[in-house]
Amino acid sequence: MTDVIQATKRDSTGTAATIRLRRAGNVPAVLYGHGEANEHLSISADQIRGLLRHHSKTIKLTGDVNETALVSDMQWDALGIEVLHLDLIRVNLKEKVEVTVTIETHGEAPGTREGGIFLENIREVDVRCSAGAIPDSLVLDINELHLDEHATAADLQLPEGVELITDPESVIAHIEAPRAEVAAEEEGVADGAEPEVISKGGGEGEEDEEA
Amino acid sequence: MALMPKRVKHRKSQRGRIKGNATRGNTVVFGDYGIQSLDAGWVKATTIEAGRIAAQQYVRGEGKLYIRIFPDKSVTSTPLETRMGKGKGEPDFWAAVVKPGTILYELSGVTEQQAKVCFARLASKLPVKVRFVTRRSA
Repeated sequence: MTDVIQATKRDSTGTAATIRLRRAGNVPAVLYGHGEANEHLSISADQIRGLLRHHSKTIKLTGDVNETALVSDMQWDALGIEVLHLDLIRVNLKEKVEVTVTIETHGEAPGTREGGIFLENIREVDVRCSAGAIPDSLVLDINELHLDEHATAADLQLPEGVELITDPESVIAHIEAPRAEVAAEEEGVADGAEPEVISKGGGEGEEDEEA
Repeated sequence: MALMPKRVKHRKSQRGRIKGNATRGNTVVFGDYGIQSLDAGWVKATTIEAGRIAAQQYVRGEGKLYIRIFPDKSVTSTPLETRMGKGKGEPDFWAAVVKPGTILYELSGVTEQQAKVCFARLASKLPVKVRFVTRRSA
């Protein structure tokens, strides 16, 4: 899906200028690629929120610049609430790009009815496809997944023109039997016990600790 | 039983000061949902364990809980009714140093509603303000 985003050019760069920009409800962005000059842009935070809601990878910039771009990086604040900066790469919708796409599981695994827990090992895979046909997500059918079985990247349903880069052997999801509560408790140490202190004179495991 | 290190270089540590936000361990990595600290503070090993029990009793074999913090700081205390001086006290408990943004626990294999209820039970045991977070998709 391609979102249309209104962008305005900005002349002022640097920390103070971008702080002022964010305070005014905008997000600084940079557009580069295709051997052309970098463009410093400003996009309203509301539009960025929309972009996040739609999980769009490619965007169509309007306003001061009229180009198609791929969102290559997003910088977040420490709490992961606000987007601080956006990196956009110029793309032609027909050119092949390498992107990370999320995996969506469809169906209900019979293994969960057999008493297992459905666990996802990988949530995203790298694919190569044309910029105009980046899938929102890749579907993994788990209707045939029984207890102690796993699904690999090769089991993903790839749309036409999408090529998998991630190793097809990598395990995406598996059904595992729940571990007993006792097993988790064994990781702890009895109350009142003190840990072993690594001696100064070159104790047995000192090198391991420092490594 | 509460978590604590197996081996340490020094039995006692200085108190330290918690400055700034978490720049590592601030995203949901293992599960689908997480609980993120909004304050800085020490979370005792016993508190981490209490949270684990509260969460696991709720999900009861359905989901998988991940503990993202580890109590690797020993905190000393001087016994009651003791005169001042005579050196640093003895280790009293182990604590994890938590900065704003740190993901404390993660949960997978449950619905968002279940995760919210589970973390609400867990949050009442914690000494820091927290918020519910979901995994950020690509």
